[in-house]
Amino acid sequence: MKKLLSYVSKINNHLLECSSIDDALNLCIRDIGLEHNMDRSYILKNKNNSDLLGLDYAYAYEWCNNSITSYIHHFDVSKRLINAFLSIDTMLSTDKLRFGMGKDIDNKLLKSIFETRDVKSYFFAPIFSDNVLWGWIGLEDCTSERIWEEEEISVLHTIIKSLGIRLSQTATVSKLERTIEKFNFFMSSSNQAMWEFDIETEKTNFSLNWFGILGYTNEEINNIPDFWSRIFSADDMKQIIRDFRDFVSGKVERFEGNTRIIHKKGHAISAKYSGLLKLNKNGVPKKVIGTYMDISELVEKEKQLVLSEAKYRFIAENTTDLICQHSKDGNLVYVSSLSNDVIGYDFEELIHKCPWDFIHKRDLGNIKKYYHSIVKNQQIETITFRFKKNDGSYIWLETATKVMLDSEKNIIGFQTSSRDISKRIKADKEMKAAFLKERMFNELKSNFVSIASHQFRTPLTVIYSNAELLELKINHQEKDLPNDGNVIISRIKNEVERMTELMNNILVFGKQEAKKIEKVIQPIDLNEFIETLTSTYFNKEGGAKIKVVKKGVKKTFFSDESLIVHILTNVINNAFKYSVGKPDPELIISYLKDKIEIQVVDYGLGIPKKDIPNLFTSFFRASNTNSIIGSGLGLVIVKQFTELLNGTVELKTKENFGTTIKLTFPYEHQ
Amino acid sequence: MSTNKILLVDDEPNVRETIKELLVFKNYDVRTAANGQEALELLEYWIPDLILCDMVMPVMNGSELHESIKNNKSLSPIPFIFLSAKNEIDLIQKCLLDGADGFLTKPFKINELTLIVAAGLARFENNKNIKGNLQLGKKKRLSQLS
Repeated sequence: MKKLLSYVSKINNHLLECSSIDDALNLCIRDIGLEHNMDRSYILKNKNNSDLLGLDYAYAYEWCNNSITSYIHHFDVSKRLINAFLSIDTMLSTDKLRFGMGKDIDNKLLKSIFETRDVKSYFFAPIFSDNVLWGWIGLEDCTSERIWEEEEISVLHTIIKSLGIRLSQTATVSKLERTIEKFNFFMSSSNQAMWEFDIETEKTNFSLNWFGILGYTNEEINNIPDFWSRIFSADDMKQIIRDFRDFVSGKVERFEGNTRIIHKKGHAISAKYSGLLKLNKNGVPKKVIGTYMDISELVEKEKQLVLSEAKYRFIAENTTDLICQHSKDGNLVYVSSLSNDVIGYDFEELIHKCPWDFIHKRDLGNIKKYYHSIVKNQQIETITFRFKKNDGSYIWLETATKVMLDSEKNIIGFQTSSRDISKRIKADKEMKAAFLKERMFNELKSNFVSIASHQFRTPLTVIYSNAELLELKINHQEKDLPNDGNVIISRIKNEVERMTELMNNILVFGKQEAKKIEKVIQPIDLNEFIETLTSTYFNKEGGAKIKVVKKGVKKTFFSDESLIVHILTNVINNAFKYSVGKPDPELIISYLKDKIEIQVVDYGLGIPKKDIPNLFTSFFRASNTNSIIGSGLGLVIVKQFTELLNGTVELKTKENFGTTIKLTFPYEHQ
Repeated sequence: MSTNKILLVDDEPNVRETIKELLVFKNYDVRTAANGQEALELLEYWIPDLILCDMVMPVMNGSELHESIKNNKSLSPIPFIFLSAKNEIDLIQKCLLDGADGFLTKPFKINELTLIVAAGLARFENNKNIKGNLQLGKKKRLSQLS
């Protein structure tokens, strides 16, 4: 038993003291071989430590007694041995031992390899590490055929188990070492320093990376008495200690916050600290583990961010433009305070909303194109569109958009600057309209001149030709000159009259076109007025007369007398002109409730249907009026003057039956 | 020499009468119409040697009359002269290209009128002679061949 103990302790010694597992195993198989009078002792190591990959062995360790052939470098024999082991049951357990005499072995592969290796007796046992097959240990006796005693088997069993334990321990330690290594690597390169405070001893341990943060080496930290007071200002220290005590005593749940710690060189570092309580099994706090993280850079960046944001806000809030920031998907994330002035919404009403919802549907197509173009080209582009205000009305906005990118040039949002250009658009429109009107007026003017000159040519032709005719006749001393001369002279007079009327109308028309007519509004007694007008101009003795009819109760009529004269003389003149030989025309004044109606009715030529649409066009004359002198301006003037006096003109006519012109005016002129 | 016949078409009665009187004075046989339609009706039974025609007229204007005359084989050789208050060069050009024999702008001098009328008539006469000679030549050649 004593011998056994020393044997086990020898093996354990190898396993514990050797720093290399290879050395330990080589020593172990040598001592196992010697202890049990074996000739060969070896380990087949499982190359795959995963069940999924299946088994594969390596002939990894071997010890051979003096003058016994070694096979560790004999590839062929090792390979065959490995194959033989692979053919042994795959269902293995820690207790599965195989031993016996070489000649008795039933596995064919093993029997053949035993013959090669000259094995008389053998002992195989699997080595398990953490319940995973680590490998096999094999012992071979090449000299004697032995009967394995139970005690020896049990000793070997124990020894091999302890090998397995040692192997699993090694694996754990190496795993732990790797973890620590990783931890240290991360710790040293991180800006986070760790400390551990022992509540009982009031001692603090510091991690290695305090040097990088504070400029103190670990040695310095450990040798400076009351290190904490060195790195905190008196005020900060008081605060921290108070918080720490409250935390340890359980008054507060957390120990964390921001503070300043002082670098060895004297400058302050912004740090974020936090701590965790470590309790013992009974729930009593034993230690506090905490960290200090250097956040100076972060604080600096934050400061700059706050500063640049303040700058940005200042600009955004003080510009007359509406400044917005949009998320990547276009939703509003910031709207400058001007939003209320420009679009009538408070910024709270707009935040997280999609601006497209406010855009006029006719402009949406353009906006979508614009958006895609900005995303694609990533350049500042400008667009104008209609935006729905809070009150439902639309304003024109001109918006410039800039893409906001992150450091990897990914789009993180958009920044827009918009201004209300409704006034500009309106002014543009008005300018265009004015320009168009001006052009139309110019065209009208040149048309007018061309038509007017044409209108003058006909009377001129008649006058000139008749003058020549007269000349001819005088030169030839015509017999009937007195009679012919009278005809010619009357023609000339007639045409001069036509030209005079034309000229007068053109002058009036020109005045009206140039807006030179000034209205003088005064009360008019229309009954009296019409009476004077008709007797002065029309109802001459021997000629046709106009019959005046009055309806309703007379009311005072406010208007411009001279314009009314122009209108009525024109209309009455037409009535006479176009109804020669027909019943006398009539003038009907109707005093209605809120307007006055003047109708001039004639029973003359009437106007052909096709000509009616053109009646109020300058120089137009109905096709049935050729033999009647006229300028083609009368009705145009009537219409313009009537409208100038806030009245309306209506015309009813039928060819060969007559025409009625109805003029309507309000009583009061505003 | 027989008196030349002239058809004068104008919607203005004063113009119509004055020009007619002038031309009668110059020994022309003149008949008048107030528009294109009236002129065509007249032409059905009275063939003039020359037509003087206003441009702007109701019912049927001068251009329309000119076109229908040009499309009528028996009337198309008659010289056709426009007499109009319109003096736009584009319009005058168009009328002449369409085959009018002259364009006189109102107001005009009597000499201009008589000149253009005389020239039109002479050309018409000339054309008639050439045609007659050609036909004569043709007949001669035919008789020679036979």
